[in-house]
Amino acid sequence: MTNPNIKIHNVETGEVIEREMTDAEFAFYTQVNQLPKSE
Amino acid sequence: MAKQTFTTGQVLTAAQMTSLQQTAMGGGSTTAKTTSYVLTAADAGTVVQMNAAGATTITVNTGLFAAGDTVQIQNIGAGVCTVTAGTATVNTVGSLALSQYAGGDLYFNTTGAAFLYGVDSAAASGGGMTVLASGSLSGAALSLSSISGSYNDLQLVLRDFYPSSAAGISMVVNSISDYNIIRNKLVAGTITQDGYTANSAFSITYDNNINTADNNSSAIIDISDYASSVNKNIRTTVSYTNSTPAKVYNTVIGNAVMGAAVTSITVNLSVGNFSGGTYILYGVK
Repeated sequence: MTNPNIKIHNVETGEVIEREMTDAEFAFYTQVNQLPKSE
Repeated sequence: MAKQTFTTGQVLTAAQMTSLQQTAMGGGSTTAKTTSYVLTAADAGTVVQMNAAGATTITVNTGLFAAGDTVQIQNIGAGVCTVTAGTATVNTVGSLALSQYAGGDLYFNTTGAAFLYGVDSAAASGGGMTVLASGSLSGAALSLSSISGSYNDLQLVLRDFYPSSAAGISMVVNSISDYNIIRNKLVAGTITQDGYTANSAFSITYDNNINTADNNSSAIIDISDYASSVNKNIRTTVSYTNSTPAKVYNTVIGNAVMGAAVTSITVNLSVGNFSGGTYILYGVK
């Protein structure tokens, strides 16, 4: 199973890459990607 | 033409005269570059034109150019080309990082000190906004990294975004996962308000139900005093069409509890990928 893609834009250099999230990035993405607890 | 040393009695050819005329008009022979480059003495009086997809540099060293020499620098590639002081000093009123189609004239005041003037992408000096990054939304997330602390505030604008599946959008600064927020939304004349929510994720959309069609949705994220060492105030306003479909207007106001400067902003779709949309990050003086 593949993780979702993330586009990363380095503001300092202007470099833009899009790649699959690492497992650590995907775990954090899942953690922060939710509606507030009052919902 | 490149700078010449003419001697007494030398015959000036028609080709040289044509080239001199072209240079005098602000043009001149162009040296195309596709990788990072270190200027040489032969570049005096010419145009050095960078054309690369990725980031590049043009390095300026001392002892090569005479006072009064000029080199025109242009960047026609998608990658940012940064004029870099090697052993010489280089100053400018704006930014030495040239975005696509930006350029300027490098004027040597002395052999070791140059000024880049006429820069198209000058940074705002006060009371203005400077585009720091822009592009198209794609994938499930966008991360804007390596944001310098040169401005007072940041504003991230998302335009015309729509997801591949009904989804919401959350945001993160640096690697902060907990925010204190207050939310409200207006849908079909009805206002819904949440009280204070502590230690929450920061969902900038009230619900995870953005319509999958292009309905001109837009979002603005403002972060005040992002480079300071105090908690960061964040204000977001979003208008989008939900999956009903009905127009939703919502605001989320809160803060990130953090003592460091914001150096990255990430926006995440709750599910699926961005099917369309653009982003612009502004630095605000």
